Amino acid sequence: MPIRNSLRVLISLTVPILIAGCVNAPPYDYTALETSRPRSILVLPPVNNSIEVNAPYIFLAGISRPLAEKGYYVFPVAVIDTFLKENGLPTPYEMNAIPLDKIEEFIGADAVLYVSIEDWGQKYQLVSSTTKVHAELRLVDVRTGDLLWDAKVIAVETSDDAGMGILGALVNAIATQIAHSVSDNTYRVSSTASYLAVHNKSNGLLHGPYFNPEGVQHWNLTKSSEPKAIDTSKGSGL
Amino acid sequence: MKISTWTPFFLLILAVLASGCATPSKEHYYWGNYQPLILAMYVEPGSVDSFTQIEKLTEDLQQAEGNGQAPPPGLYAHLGMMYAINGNQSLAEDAFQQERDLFPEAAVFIDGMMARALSRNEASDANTQ
Repeated sequence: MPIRNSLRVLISLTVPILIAGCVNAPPYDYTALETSRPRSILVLPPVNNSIEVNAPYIFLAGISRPLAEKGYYVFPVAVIDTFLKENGLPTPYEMNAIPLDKIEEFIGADAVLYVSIEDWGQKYQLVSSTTKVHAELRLVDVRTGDLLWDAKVIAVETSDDAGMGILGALVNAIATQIAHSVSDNTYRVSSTASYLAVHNKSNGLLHGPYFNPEGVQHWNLTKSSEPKAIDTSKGSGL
Repeated sequence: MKISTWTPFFLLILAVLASGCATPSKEHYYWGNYQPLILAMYVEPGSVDSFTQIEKLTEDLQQAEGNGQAPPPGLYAHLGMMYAINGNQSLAEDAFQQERDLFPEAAVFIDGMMARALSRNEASDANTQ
């Protein structure tokens, strides 16, 4: 879409990553996670402390991929949500209060990921729009209740008018607002930010049992002309 | 052809950016429509009915196979739920069984769900007789 392309998107996401991810930070204490070694993760629908009603499920839709690619079995989030609703837990608030022994008995998860949404949404000004997501993650051992890992998923993305004039920018802002009125940018921003938090080298999650170090380069696989056999030697070192 | 003296430095910076930080560079599973369908289910209720979801997820399974990639955890179970919504019990059971075979971690949940579905069906059969 030309209207969207004409907006120069400044991803301020990269800046905190460069600061937080690559510069020496105090090492994360993985003792509890290494002791527990969970194979499976149950992600409960997040508790919402923001004013965006859809935030918990927008976040939930994008969290399986980072965790599974890290090597964990991730319970099917929508199936679990349906199952819990059918069993008398209508909202994330009640779901997050399930006793751990019930989770072990009915779902058999090794660990539970509790998520709270702290800030969420998209704001439109005349010449720019800002997308913000902020979620807090706590991974807990189902058998002991110990905290295994925690992380903050925070991202701010600003799309800015690059010399288009105020009218052009206004039209673009309105067009973007309509185009994204339903799911908006927060899904893309939150799933990217979740990926970065889970896969962060200094304080991300450790590899789970299904982690595949020989994994394929995903951008090669979007082309249908790719041969069936996957060449992992290609592009593995820049 | 003269290569700029800055080129190696530029490439080095690129390499550091690409490899040094946490970027999703390699993926084990074929993700396809699974997550976007979940998003649509909740954000635009009614926009993706069970038939559409079955169609999209079945396409994903074929695409995954063509790519030599595995289907992601949860995909078969989600597909099973869609078959169950349509009242197609045997395809639902097959899909749940696939999830369990690929990922034994799902056994407690899937077995429990299937056992409860079975006892519900038996109860309703008994009621209709």
